[in-house]
Amino acid sequence: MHLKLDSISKHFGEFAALDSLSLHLDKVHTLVLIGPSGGGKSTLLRILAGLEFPDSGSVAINGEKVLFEEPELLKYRRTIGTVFQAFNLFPHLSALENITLPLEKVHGHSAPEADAIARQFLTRFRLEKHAHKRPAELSGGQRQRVAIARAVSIKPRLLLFDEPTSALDPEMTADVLDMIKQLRDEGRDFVLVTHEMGFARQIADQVALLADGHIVEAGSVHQVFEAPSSPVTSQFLERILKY
Amino acid sequence: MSWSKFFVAPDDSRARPVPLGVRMLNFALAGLLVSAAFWFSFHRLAYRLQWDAVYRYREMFLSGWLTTIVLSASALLLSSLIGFLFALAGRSRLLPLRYLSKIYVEAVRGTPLLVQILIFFYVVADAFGVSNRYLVGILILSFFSGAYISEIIRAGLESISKSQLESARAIGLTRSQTYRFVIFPQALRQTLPPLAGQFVSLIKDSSLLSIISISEFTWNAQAINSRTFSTLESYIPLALGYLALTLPLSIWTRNLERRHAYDT
Repeated sequence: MHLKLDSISKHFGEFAALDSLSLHLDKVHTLVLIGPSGGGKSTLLRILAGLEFPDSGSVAINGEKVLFEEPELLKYRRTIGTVFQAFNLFPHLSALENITLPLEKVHGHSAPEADAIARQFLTRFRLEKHAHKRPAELSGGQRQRVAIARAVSIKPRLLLFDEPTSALDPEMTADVLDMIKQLRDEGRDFVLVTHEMGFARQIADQVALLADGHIVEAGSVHQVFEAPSSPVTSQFLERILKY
Repeated sequence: MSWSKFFVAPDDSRARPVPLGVRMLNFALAGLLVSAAFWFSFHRLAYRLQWDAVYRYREMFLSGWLTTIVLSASALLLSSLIGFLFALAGRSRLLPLRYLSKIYVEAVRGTPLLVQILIFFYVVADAFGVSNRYLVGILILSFFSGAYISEIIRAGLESISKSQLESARAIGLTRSQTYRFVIFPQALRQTLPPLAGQFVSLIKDSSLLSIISISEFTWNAQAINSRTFSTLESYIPLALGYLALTLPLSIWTRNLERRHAYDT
């Protein structure tokens, strides 16, 4: 994927969540965003997901500029698979129905087609036993895996993960990370916000560190983790890797 | 205490349900207490209830009761529709609609039904040339109950968390699809219990339509009373007749509620 972000700003009242952020990346499969809380990672991801309008600036994916206007933005959102921190699923629908809903109502598959696609993904992620359970009957990790299956099943051009494991137990975290790693190995393009530094190092092609609404540092895993050029990066890594 | 297990529910009644026998025993006990209180009161009255005078008018009771059923059932459907539309209007981005909904809800909820019936029947219906008092009765009752139902539905719609709406947006549902597949099914569960309560109220409120001489259950009971001078004998069947309508409604909605239950 080719990603071009140009001087994106986003304010919430007085607070500048993103302050003229720019980032150009060529041929990146896995972009991992790290950085301190409140640094703008989630806001950037929500703009990429088409859920938030930037005040100014532009986003282009593979040379295609994203139009931040409904109804174009709705069409754009339909090509992106987004997974949030928690509470992704619809509690009144079973795991299977959670996956078939967008397939049928948004992507125009017939009911049997949608059912077949959903079952295929549930089986692949070893969730077939849970197809008819509602989210409340699933563990946190299972819920998140169903949410990921839902995001992947629509064949998105880009997957976005916003701290997909920060609401989970360590054991469940491993299951979810395994699943993300599988998707990476398939060559899917995605942007991931995470606090799991070990995991970030394992899967990232490119890492970008955001603080105060800017990109403080961006580059390969080796560059950012081993030879950071900014003191902000060194400080952040030192604090987060201390324990 | 060995006695307590017959009368006290366990701390965690979900893990250990109260045995059927114990439930029946206590239900009978409570029923006995209520009956005893009434029996004592009626006994002190030193008046023998005379049912034969009233019995002659049994068909009038029945026809009034049936009229009440028709009035209530029609108003129940119509008020649900009105409540639903005004709840949506209250959330509309069109501001005139939003304020129309607010004014309607506050005006209806803040004034007595009695006054509404009189104004609606003698002024509004008259001006619009609607002369069928049964139709007017259904309309008044529907608009009265609709205001409460609109508030119930509004609360149900607002109970859906932001993260649900965000998920719906993220998977690319349109606004109307979000309502249909995400908001309404979840709001339904929230609204069922208060809605049942409102329907019970509606059935009882229909008795006020007797003031515009609609020959429903209450009006007929009043008529029988004035013909037989047997007040209690006219009104006790009235109470039982309403109970026969409201009790099944409560039980039915409780079952429905259980069927739609899921943890969030």
